[in-house]
Amino acid sequence: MIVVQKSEYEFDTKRVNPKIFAMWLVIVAIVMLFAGLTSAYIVRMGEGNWYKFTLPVQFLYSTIVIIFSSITMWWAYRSAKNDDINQVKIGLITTFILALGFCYLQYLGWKAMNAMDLFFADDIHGDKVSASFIYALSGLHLAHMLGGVLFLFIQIIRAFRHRIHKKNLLSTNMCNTYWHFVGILWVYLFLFFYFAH
Amino acid sequence: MHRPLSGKLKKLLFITSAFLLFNLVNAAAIKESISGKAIDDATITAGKTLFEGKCQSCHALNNKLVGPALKDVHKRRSYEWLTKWIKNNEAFRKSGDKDAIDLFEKNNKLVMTNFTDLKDDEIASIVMYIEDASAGGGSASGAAAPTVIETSPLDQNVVSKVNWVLILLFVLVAIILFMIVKIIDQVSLIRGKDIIKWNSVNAIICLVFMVVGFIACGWEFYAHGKLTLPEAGTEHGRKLDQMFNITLFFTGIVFVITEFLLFWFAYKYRARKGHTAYYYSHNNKIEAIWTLIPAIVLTILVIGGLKTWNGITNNPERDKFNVEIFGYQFGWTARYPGGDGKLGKTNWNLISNDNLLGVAIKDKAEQLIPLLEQDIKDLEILKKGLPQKLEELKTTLGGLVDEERKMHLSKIAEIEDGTAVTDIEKTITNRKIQISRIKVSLENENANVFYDNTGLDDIIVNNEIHIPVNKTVTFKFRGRDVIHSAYIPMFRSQINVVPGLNTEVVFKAIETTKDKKAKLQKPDFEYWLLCAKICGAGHFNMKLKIVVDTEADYNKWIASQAGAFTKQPEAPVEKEIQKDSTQKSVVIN
Amino acid sequence: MSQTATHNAQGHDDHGHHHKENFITKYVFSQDHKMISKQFLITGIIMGCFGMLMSILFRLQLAWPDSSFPILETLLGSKWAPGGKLDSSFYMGLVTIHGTIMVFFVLTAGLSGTFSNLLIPLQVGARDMASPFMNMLSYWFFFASSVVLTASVFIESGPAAGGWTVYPPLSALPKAMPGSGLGMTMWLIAMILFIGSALLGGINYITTVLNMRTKGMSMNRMPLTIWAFFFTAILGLLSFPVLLGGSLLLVFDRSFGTSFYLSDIFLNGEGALANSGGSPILFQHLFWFLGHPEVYIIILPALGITSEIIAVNARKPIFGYTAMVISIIGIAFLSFIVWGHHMFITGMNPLLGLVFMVFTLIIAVPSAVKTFNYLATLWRGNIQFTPAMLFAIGLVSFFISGGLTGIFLGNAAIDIQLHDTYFVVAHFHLVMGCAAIFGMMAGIYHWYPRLYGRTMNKTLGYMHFWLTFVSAYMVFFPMHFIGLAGVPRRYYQFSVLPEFGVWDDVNILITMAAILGATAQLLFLYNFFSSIFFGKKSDQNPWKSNTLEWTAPVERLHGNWPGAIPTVHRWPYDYSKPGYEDDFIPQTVPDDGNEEEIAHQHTTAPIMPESTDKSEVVHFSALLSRWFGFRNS
Repeated sequence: MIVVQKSEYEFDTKRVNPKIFAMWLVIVAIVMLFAGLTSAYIVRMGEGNWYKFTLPVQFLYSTIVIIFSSITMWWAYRSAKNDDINQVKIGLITTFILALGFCYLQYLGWKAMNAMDLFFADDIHGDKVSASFIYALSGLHLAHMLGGVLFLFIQIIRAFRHRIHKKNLLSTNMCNTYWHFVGILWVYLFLFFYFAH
Repeated sequence: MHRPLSGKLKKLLFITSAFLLFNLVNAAAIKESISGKAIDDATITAGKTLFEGKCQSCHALNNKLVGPALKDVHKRRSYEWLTKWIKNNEAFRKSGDKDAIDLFEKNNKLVMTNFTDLKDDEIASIVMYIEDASAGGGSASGAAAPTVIETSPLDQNVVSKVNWVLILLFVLVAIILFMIVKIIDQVSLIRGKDIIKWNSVNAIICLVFMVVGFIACGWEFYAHGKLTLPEAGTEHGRKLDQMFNITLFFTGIVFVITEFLLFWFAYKYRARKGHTAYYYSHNNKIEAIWTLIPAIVLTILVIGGLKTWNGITNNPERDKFNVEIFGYQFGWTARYPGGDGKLGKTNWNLISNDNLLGVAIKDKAEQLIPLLEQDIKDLEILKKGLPQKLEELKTTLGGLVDEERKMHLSKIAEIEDGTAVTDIEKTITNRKIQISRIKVSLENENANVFYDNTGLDDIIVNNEIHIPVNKTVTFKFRGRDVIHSAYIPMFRSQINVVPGLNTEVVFKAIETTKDKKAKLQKPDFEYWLLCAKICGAGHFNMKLKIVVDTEADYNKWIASQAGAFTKQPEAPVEKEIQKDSTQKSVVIN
Repeated sequence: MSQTATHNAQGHDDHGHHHKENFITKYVFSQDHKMISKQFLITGIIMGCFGMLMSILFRLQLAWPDSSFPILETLLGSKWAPGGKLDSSFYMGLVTIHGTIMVFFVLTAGLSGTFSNLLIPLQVGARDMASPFMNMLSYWFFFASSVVLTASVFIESGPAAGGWTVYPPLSALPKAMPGSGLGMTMWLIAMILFIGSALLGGINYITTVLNMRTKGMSMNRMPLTIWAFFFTAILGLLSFPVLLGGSLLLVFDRSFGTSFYLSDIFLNGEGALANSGGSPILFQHLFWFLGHPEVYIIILPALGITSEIIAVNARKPIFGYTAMVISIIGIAFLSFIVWGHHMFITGMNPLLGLVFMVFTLIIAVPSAVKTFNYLATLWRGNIQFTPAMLFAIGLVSFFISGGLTGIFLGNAAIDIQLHDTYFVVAHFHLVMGCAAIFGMMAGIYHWYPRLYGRTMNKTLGYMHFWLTFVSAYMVFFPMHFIGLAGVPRRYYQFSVLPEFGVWDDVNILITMAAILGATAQLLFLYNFFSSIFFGKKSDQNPWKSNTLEWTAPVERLHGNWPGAIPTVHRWPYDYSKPGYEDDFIPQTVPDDGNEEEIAHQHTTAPIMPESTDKSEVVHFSALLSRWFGFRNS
């Protein structure tokens, strides 16, 4: 049984749910983190002594995978709004699998870079800070992605406990938003690496 | 060194001087030196110069600075030990000398520079100077006036007494204040209203504060303003000072007006009977006015600033006359281009005991490789010997107390948790990478480009450098370890010295040191370069003397400097006789 | 948390629900914003005492470099104070930790944390913050951070000692200086926790201000404190993550062998390091991108508090409310584009230096406007000298003195001469160590009745103020001249040049004044802690203020108002309004329709068509109008 609480903010029809708003602010903070680091990348690049290389193709694949995962996530949320619990489950689980696929592809991408003699910390050859930046940025993105995966996992559990439906969308909404954000963030990083080279 | 002497210090100085005089009369100064050499004023003086140039940035006689206090060090260590330590403390510790290792650990593992270039007689003179200074100065011959007047640490008893008096005073004042507060509060409570008209009292104190404050401000500007820097010694420096004065003019006006209004209003509009406030919420016109006026004033300052800044940073004469200044923990070394007018290339991988600046000299680079390989071998041996060292440490633990015990335990912990091994392995890796980098640089094409011999005739100078007056000089800065900042207050010049980044300042000195001394009537005035960016334990003691010479004097000076790497015999050096006898140098402890 | 459709943001404030509180949930893991604000306050005060103690220790060294203080050796051990004189590495550690504690732990967490938490819900008319749970986390992250940083002072190799600015390579290489080992690692951990705390708090503050104002509380009826806290939180949200990024790269350099900041290094005793390709200046950019907004994060709340306190105690509206708001916005925006003025002498591209200089000098304009508005508020006021008011006046005095010297330093050319000298030390201490601290003090004295239901002893308050005010000026004013004489900062002693010896007596004077100032704080500490238990019980609205926080009863009431949240009918600055008996009109007093109000729009009709979608879907347009609209609800 769900009890409807009388909101003290009924007078304010344009009020945004504070939790959703807070989620957006979290996103702003994360954006600033990556903005700062990508700016650092640009500044350092401008100083010269910048080793250029082609990004391994694995990162292109992972980009495609993460875009797909956003589509499945959208599907899951849409189904939730329509109270279609089965589709919700399908959507969420597919997203989860795609997310794992993304993680694996990132790992393959790093291995590919290793094969090109590009390491996170390269004492021996040095001067390949460009590679270090890519490891750092993609690694940091992955960390945030894993946060999203955790959130997603919670949604899956909730779906199986029949807690997700039309009138109970807040948590799923926030997960959806965050998921798209993490996807867009990666697309931005990927394009950034691609063009900044 | 000079210090203005406060009352207490004056007394102490008198006592100390009297003591010294007594000693002098009795010729109780040092009679013999552990170096075995005869006591000789010239040697002591030479030793003093060397001490000031090489040791003073980290050592003093009576106090620990970066390194331990050196007073009576000759009584604690043998001459042989001292020589080995001073020449190359790194190798000495590696050789396993227990005292050396202990000393290193005790001193927070701060590494002392290796003075491999010091000759035996130079070390002897330094030691003799220390012996002499420790004894209070004045040699056995009794001929020379005291070269050193010590300010020994204040008698501890005096400090303790002062401490207690102060503490008692504070406690008394606290109690009195407390009682006053309690009385006032209680009486007010009884009376039902405040016995002190706090509003009026505070308002009046505001007014008094304002008056006293302005007077104090004025006094400060007068008394302390006098102590600020004299006129700049460079062209751009004078423009910078002008900019400062203009800014001071505007901000001074604002300061006086606003602070006055603040306290005046506080007083005038204090709450009192029958007085009400005036409801006046805003006035857009006045907002516009007092936005516009500051904006205009600031625009003037910005424009002035832009011009001055541009003049300083965009000097068309840069690179016409270059001197490299190399900053390191904790000192400065300069490098002049020598006969070819070009500064040799450098690389940090080439830095070694006899190539302190890492200049690209092919022979030195080749010689470095076997040294590094030997280093690696030594480190491997050290690594293998760790288990045995651990056993040793464990067995010698018993009986130690306090700091010693703590140090011992941490040494054990270091080995047990693997940090010692990782450290050694890291260093070995670094050495291997360094060797491979040097090897790469020596290969064919690279070698010709890099080892182009421009550095062979470079001149390396420590402690005191000379530059010609009225000529645009570019100081090229290079850092060895951490960020330092080369600050030359009298030139109005400052720039960070960053490892991996080459920075520079371009300026023209327009007043020779000699002229400046005469103008200021300060015979011991000098231009100094200091460090202005926190860089470690010795940050406060890094200095380089810059002497601005006439063109002729400069040419004479540079001609007398020997190239650092040339195989030619050293040119005869004409040293100016130190006018020490007329100066009272006070060594800071 | 309940997942109901029309969702109440607060966790557990539902009327009629009992909430059994034990000691732990009431005093320790509290989710009530008022308790959290007290937690921030007391932790901030304790850290402040610790930081101040450090400053006294290193001032002792500066004043009497030739003396030995045996008590130091007893307290600190023979490693850090051999023979009763501070070791120079430890001295540097004291300076570093003093700076870190004061800037972050006292003036950011202690100031914003306390007053944003206390006042935002109460002054905008909300039951609590948007997420009380996140709020609680924000405090406990701060607490953890404080513990780690304090602990770092007592470890064997010593605390971080590269200055609070921790520039690499010094801070990246443990062998460069003892404190750059474990001490620096702990510093980084403490700062990462701290940034977490600041972000969690900031998100709450912004959300609550934008989304949880009561009926009638439009943006332009908010007290200036809220405007200030709001923009402070925005500054923090946008700038702390960049420091996090910079710190992460530093962690990588220290622990994983990367070369983001390191290159071309030969360490004495260690040899040539392998790192190549890094740029130490990169760290400075990332650091100061936070570092500059940070100082505005420090001063803006203090300025907001001052606006409020001056208006209340002068019994006059704050002069130029709209101009004050625009100034806050201007300062906030400009603070993001001036960070390079900390780096004028790094050898940066001169053109870049030019740009930073221009913006830096521009930022002086809104600061000046604020000062003039304060003066205009005092003009023809009816000034009650409560201790809070005195501290607010003191803030204005310090803000003038310290702010004006900023104009010298903002000029890139003059900065060449003054950078990293005592002139800078004087400047930032006057604006932060004096002005901002006075804002904090003013806030404490003023809102003490709201925190504890009692007033602090005002006689002690007056003594505290005057002693602190005088000693603060005595400490920092002479430092301008020391800097103008070319003496660099962070110097263990002034022995390097004979001409620096003229400042020996001044150093003694400064230290004595500092000791006097520190002792005066004992008055405050006694007053603060004893009044909690023995202070005179205060009225509901002791300062006769208009703002909402004084309408909520002080007994620690969950949800702030026992009944409905009051509706707001007017702006908060109706003091001494002509035609009214009282010299104040609280915001809750209905307006009779004929009143002149500062608000430019005074409609009650909704501006946008009602949304029919009641789910939690976010309308971007709604968000935008909410964020930027100056409209009544």
